[in-house]
Amino acid sequence: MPELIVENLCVRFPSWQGELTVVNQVSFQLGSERLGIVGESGSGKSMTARAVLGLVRPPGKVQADRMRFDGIDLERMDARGWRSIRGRRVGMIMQDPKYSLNPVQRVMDQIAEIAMLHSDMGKRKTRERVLEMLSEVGVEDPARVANCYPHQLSGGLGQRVMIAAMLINSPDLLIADEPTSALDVMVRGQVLQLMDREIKRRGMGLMLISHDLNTVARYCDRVLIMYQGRIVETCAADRLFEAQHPYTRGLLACLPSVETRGKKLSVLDRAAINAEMPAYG
Amino acid sequence: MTLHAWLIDDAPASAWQAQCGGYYRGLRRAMRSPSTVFGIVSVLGIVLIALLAPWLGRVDPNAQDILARLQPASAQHWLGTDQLGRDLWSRLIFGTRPTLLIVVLVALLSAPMGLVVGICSGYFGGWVSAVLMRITDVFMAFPRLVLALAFVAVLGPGIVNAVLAITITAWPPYARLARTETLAIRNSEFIHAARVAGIPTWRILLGHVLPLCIPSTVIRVTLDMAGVILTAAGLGFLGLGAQPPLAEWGAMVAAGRQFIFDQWWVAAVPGAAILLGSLAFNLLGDGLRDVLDPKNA
Amino acid sequence: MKRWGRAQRLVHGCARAVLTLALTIVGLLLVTFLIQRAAPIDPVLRVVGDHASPEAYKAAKHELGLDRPLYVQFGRYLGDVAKGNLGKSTSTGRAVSEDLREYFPATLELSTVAIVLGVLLGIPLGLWAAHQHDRWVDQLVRVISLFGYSVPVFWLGLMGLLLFYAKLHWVAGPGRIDDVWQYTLQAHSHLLLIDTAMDHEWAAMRNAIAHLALPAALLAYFSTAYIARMTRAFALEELGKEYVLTARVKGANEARILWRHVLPNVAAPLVTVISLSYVTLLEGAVLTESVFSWPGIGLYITNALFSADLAAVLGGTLLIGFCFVGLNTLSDQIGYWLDPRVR
Repeated sequence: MPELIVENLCVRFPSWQGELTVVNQVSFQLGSERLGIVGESGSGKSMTARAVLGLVRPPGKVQADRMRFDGIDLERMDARGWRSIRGRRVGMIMQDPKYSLNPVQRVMDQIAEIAMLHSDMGKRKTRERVLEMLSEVGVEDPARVANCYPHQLSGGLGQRVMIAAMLINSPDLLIADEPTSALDVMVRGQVLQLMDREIKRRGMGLMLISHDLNTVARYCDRVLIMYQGRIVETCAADRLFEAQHPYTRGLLACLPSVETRGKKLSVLDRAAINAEMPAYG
Repeated sequence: MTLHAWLIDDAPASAWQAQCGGYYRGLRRAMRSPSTVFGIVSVLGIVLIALLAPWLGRVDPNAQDILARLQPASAQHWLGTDQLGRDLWSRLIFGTRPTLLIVVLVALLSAPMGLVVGICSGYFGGWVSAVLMRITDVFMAFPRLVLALAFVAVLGPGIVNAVLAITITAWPPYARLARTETLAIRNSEFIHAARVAGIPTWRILLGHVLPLCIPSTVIRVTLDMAGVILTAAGLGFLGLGAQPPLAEWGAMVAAGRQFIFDQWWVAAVPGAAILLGSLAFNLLGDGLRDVLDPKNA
Repeated sequence: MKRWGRAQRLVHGCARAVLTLALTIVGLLLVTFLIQRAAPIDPVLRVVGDHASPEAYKAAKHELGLDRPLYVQFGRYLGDVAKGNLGKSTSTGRAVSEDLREYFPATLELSTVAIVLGVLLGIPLGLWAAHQHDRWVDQLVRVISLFGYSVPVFWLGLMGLLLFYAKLHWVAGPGRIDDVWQYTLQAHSHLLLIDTAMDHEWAAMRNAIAHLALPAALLAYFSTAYIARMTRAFALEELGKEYVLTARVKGANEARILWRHVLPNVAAPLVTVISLSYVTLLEGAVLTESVFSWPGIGLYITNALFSADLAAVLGGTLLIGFCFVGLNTLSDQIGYWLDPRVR
């Protein structure tokens, strides 16, 4: 099974106060399982995902002791090499389809593009495949939706289109960067379930990035918790609520539930967490 | 706390401090760019040359010497002489004066005109706005140089008329800008408060609205000055701007045109001066925009 | 229901555009009319001469309709222009509209060649510069556009003539075509490239191209500078957007991202930029044509200016103004049509 191995990944950006380390010595492995990465905004979880796809733009710098995917050395990858991996072996879904879809291109062309970039299927066959793919992700009227522009779609439908595009080449790994945080609460569950179903059906790996503990607990097998660019805790998803690190405990305490109903929700005590953080790096 | 620390504070205590900090950072960034520094230095240089022209010019720019016409550069005539034997260096130096005069007059006339039209249109709205904006659009619809030509055709050539003609074509963008700014502040609380307090409209416009519209107008005017220099030189070149014997760069190029193939420097030198002048204002304007509008940096 | 709504909106939008267009054109005419009336040149004296008797003067004034109220005169002026009557040129002795029909194609030919070159060079250059942000291509585009914004066109034209015509002999000199062909060519469209092609006059065509090359290249430089700079600015903003990241995730290469994703997204504002650049070329004709003795509308206007031929000046001004307004409206409409979000 293709496996993603990351060892001591660092991502740095130059800034006013010298270099800023956004991702700090992050290591993990990922096979055909569902890995969740949780953390607040700015914790480096998105940057980790982008580094894996070689999408950190200059002046950002990526450095790692080891970064391999299916035996391919990602560190020594040229532009052509990246293009053969992106969209073909690894797909990525972003937060808001309103921004991640090209506003002046029809849905059909946007999905067909990713298929045509990695195969020489004919135009007609590609179009048929796109319609097929759209119905696979639960779009009721594929022909109509394929003819739409992104602004004519609802958020949930847009995200289904993104999923259809990213899965059309049957990649080995799907990265989902906050795939539901821009959607209505009502459709979040639907989109996550759809993703989950398709991942399992294809036996793919999933990297689900979220700030929502409940989501990762439910849709992942294993969870990494990131704080200020570091992984502070790794645990099995079903044991997430027994996590030990003060940051995780703090996050858990902030979750609203039946018990906290009517009471004031707690707020992270950052001073306490920072005191617990190891002073390396 | 030093001033520097106050200015670059990450957590400014007031909007005023944040604003100053923004400008300060912009200024530091601008001063780091050699092109902006070049722009500032050149514009100051041109102003200085215009002031010191009688001392820098060495000889009378209009002194003719028919025996020494169309001479190449020499120790006596640093840039050679023109068709009437006048010293090109002196004419070049004195040429800064009409250029600056036109730039300053156009700025002083067109910016207030645009501000008045734009503020009235934005503040009163309704049919006042509709009428004023339609007029603005009509003037925007005219090609600038051609409209200026038509006006000069009526007013007759000359430096003052050139200024008027350029002004008539230059104000509409300022009106648009001032209108947008006014619309943004018209419904703000302090304007309401002023109105409720019974402050007369003209005082609200003058005391509250106008000061807020001025910064953006100043940037825009600076950015436009390069274009004004080029238009003025164009009118001069066509013989519709400054009249002889006044040393004006555009007219000097036109005069050198007859000798372009043999005594090329007569036309080349004043043209290079026009280039340098408008380049200076372009660089200054770009730098100023970087300071005041960091988004475009 | 929805479809009907869209059609209605379209009709509404078109009606609005036409109304705005009409109002602006009437405004243009009002300005030229007022200029005419404010001119210190007495049109009656032009007709009757300086020594006419007061009776003859009065009769002529009545004949010309100049004793009527201003708004009546303006109404007549509107009617005349609508009929294509722009008055008589005192310097050529012909109807202004007839003159314009002959002079305008020369300007049109020159500026069209220039704008085509400008678009073909400026867009790729701008996209490339945005892609290579802050690297040498970007700096090059910055220098090109800064120089283009700062250099006086008439001076650069003269320097071009000096270098490429007088010293290097690469191009033909001022004028549109050598005298040999001046009177033998059939004028079908007054566009020399088309006229010579129609009559298979290849030698004449080569000569016309040799004359056209320098002024066209000069004007093309200015439109390239402007188009490249604006394309760069628009593209730079788009490159930061998320759909570009999506395209990268899909495995698209940089060229594809620029041409297939970024360009369609900046097409609408670019059309406006191109049309602005085009009308600026028509206007810039006044100076360029003077330098290159190019018998176009610019030269016509300047010559008329010096012979105090107001009808000709205003006729030319009006024509360029119409082009301005027409192109603006057209580019707005194309812009709407290009953007599915407002369509």
